[in-house]
Amino acid sequence: MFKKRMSFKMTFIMVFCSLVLSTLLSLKSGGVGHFSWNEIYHFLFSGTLESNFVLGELRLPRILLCWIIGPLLATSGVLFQSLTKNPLGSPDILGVNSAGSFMGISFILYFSFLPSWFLPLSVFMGGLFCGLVIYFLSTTKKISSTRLAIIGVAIHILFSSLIQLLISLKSLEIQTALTWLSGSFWGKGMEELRWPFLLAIGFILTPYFFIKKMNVLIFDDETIVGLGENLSSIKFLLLLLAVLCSSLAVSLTGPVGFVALLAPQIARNLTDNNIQKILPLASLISVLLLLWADGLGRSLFPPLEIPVGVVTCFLGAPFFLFILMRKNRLEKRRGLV
Amino acid sequence: MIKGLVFVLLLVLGFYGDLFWAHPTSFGWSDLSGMEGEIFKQIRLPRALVSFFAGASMALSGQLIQSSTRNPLSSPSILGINASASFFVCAYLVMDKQSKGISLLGASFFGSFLGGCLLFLMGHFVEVKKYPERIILVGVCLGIMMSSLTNLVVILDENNTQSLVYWLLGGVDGKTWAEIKWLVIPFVFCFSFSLFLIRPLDALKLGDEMVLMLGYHPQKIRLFCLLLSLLLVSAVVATCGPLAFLGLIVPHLARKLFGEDMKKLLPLGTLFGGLFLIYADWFSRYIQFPYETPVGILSGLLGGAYFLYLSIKENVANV
Repeated sequence: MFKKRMSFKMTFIMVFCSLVLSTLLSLKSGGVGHFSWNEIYHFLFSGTLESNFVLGELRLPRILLCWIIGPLLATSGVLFQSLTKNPLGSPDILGVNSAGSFMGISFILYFSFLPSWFLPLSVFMGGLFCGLVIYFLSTTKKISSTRLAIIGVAIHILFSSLIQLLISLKSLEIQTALTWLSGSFWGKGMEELRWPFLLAIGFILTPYFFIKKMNVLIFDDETIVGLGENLSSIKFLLLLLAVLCSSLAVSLTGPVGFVALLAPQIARNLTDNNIQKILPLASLISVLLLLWADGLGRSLFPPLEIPVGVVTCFLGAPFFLFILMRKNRLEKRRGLV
Repeated sequence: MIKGLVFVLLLVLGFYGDLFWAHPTSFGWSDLSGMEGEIFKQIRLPRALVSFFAGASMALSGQLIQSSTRNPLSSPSILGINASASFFVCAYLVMDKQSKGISLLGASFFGSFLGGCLLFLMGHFVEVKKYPERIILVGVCLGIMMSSLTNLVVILDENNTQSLVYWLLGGVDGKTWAEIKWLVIPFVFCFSFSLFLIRPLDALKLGDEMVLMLGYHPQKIRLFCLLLSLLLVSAVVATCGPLAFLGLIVPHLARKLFGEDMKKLLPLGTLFGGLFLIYADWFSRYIQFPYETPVGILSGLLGGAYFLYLSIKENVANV
């Protein structure tokens, strides 16, 4: 009936090992220079990061970025999926990322005289507005999960048209704007990543304080209140956290599509429905996905670099349909259809 | 009768406004000689005609798709067909900058045909026959895939990024007589063919079994509608770039104005589409006067807002 799964410990260890392997592979591959394993070993354990320009300044920041953005997006995805009780709920499909990137683009194009920490703030405001709208809509009983996804897509399309309007009105920096919009890891140095790294660690670790309470979201509202939990404050806090995570990710690299949707789904398939297990596993899986997407983007057509967002959108869209198909088949097997 | 008169008046007014008002150098009907006459004939008249025929093509294509899939939310841009056609045209433009006319049309048709095939394939995967509303999600995924590829092409070709992005917004400015025939010929062809589809499309509203009983074959009708739409969309994309959402808003508004009877709806809705784009083009020039704003922006904003409204409203999406 239910296929035998690996125990959670084994799954975690396997994913972690493949993660370490992928990190090393990612350091090694790329268009600019070829390094042997010896040189990489030297670089990692030589004590200073400046010993090698390509590895230290070009590749290591990108890998660090994967390790930051991955758990941010995954946490946001898991939280949105629990909040909307919808497997299709994720910040990119529900339009939260596009609202945030709209505010981000308007900051980049129009308000760049303000200090640079306004960028995450503006992205956060846009994302919060959209997140509240989506949250409101999802609590209405008459809206099915597919319809919520369609509404989210509508919001996403609306904000994309607004972004296009902005770009056309100010066409001097089209290239930068477009590259940012496709989700690119290019050009970040180690210095820029210091503050975001600290913030990200804070955002990613915060859910683990309430993780036992988060399991209660599987049930519907009346049951939760009946169990004695403070429903609205839990939901609001988690919504805030989800939007914070995805806005930080979007403000760093622009919207990277589909990772926040797919990583939690894959994690759910590998283990049971317990958020205590899904959240860390999803974070690891998202880093794996991003490392591979970034590595592919760099190595497929050297020295051309395909932005990470393009790879994730192109490969993620059919994968998303594959998940829909599987959900369909599972429901049929359990007799729900 | 009165409705018909109002319609004709609006059409004349629209053409007049688009031709004579909202231009940086304005002149009237009376001084149409010499240089102004040349401007009129070579620049403004083809542009107005392109707007009309592009709007009519998109409206017709949207009506065909909405009637054949019985889903009021579907339209060529949502189903990703616009995006696949524009990706192929972009790639073709990048490879060969000076291509015009039939080669662009060919690339565009290839793109939309490929998009249609992918739509079928992916829809079959997701069992769209049982859950017809999923075609929208399938189409959106196809659209995302194709537009990410288009973004890639646009970013990589640094010399032409600006002009490509401008083209991708979808606009009718700067079209000349040479490009009109690649829009008008497919339109006339598809419009005359679609007149034969009026009765079967009316029957299709009653459900597949009723259609069989009435003597038509539903799958063949759907295939035919889809092929005509693909041709129309590819013609529009090859000339003007992807005009977002026209295929969605116009059939809805037309249905509100003219009712559900296909005999009136199909031809009048098509004309209404042309009218709509003429007005949109005219008003889009006011946004950044005296600079041009591509009309695709206006249609994208209006259409996006309307799509949002439609998806929130109940008993529209039958989901």
